[in-house]
Amino acid sequence: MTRIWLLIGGLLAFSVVLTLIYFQPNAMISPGKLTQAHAKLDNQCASCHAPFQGAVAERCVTCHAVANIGWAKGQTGANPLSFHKSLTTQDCLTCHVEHKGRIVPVGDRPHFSHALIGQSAQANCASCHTPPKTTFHQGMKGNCSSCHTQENWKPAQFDHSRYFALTGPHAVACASCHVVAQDYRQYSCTTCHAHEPARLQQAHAEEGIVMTAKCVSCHHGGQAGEVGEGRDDD
Amino acid sequence: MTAQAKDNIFFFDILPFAASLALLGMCALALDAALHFGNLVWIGKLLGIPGVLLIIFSFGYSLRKRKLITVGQPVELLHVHEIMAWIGSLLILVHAGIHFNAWLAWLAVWAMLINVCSGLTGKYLLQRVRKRFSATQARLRGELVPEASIEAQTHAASLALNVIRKWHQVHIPIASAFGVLALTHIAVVSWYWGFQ
Repeated sequence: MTRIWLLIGGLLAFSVVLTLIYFQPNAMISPGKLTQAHAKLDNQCASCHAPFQGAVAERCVTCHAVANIGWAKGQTGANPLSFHKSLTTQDCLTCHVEHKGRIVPVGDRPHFSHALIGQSAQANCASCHTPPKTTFHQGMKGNCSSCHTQENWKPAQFDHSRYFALTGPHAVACASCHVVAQDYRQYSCTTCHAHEPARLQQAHAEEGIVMTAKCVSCHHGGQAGEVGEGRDDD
Repeated sequence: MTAQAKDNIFFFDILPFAASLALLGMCALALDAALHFGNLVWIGKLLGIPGVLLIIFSFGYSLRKRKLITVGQPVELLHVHEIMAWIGSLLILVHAGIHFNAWLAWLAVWAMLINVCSGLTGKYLLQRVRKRFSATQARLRGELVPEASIEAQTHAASLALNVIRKWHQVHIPIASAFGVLALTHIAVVSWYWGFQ
């Protein structure tokens, strides 16, 4: 008697599964819609999935030739996504997720790791990243990694002491000296009460120093007795 | 029915039944939330494997009851069946998470929940009827009623007990449906998912 009930329950469930898979294969099996770009593959699981292996890179590259990733069909010229050619391993799913809806929610997007690309590509930031057009960045000659990490663009670790030490009374907000927004090459020391132009002029004249607007060229450390250009007796 | 008897049904049958289900739901929610909070959702995906294994091992009771195995005492194995099935169901619920997945996976989860409800219903109904039957027998024996008369007076209760004992005829097809849905889900996932 028990076996009959066992069979009835099993067969009933199996027929429901078969019927639903026949009429609604995608909804029955797929855990979510594909992204807009892959929408036409919604019902073609085998385009990406290999049996018992999941979605494999070999099937991705049948449509997305690695050398052409980043270019629209027929497009030529600079390719901002050419780093795909430098990937150490081809595992598309490390960065690209699917079945999360037509637009992947921000929280579900994997974090890109620079470790996935080769050392030479890692050193050549500009091959992927356009340098910011701010005057500050335009004037930079060093490697981006001297300020920015490969984890995040912000916060940047800019070493201000290479130009001027922000110690003692000089540990102030950026805008106290850099009065022109976005142009960090310009600065003014005379916005501070202690450095009123008339007093500075007089103090420097007593020492025989011709004052210039480039205070930092002599006072790297922010101290009074530092030596630099501008003395009459040089 | 007296007010005291009503209280007994509520405290000794309905409340434990509801509490077992509520505890299952709350534990699943708490575990799922902890995994999300710790950015360990990937563990939840893998919890389906131990969950299914626990549920499979819990069938030891059914095998012992039908003498397909001879290890253990059926009463003890029933207790083990309840605990393993409860923990296995908990792991499956965490594995499913509070997301809308494919229909097949959802059907399997709902079949499992109905199965848990059916198991708990059978357990508490059987306990209830057994208690009443034994209490009536003890009372009549205390009143020195002859055995033949006790048998006649408890005939209806005895029939009820026999009917409830056949609860497994409800529980087994539900368990079977759950088994088919879960196996189909496992087969589909194995086919499409990479285990690397």
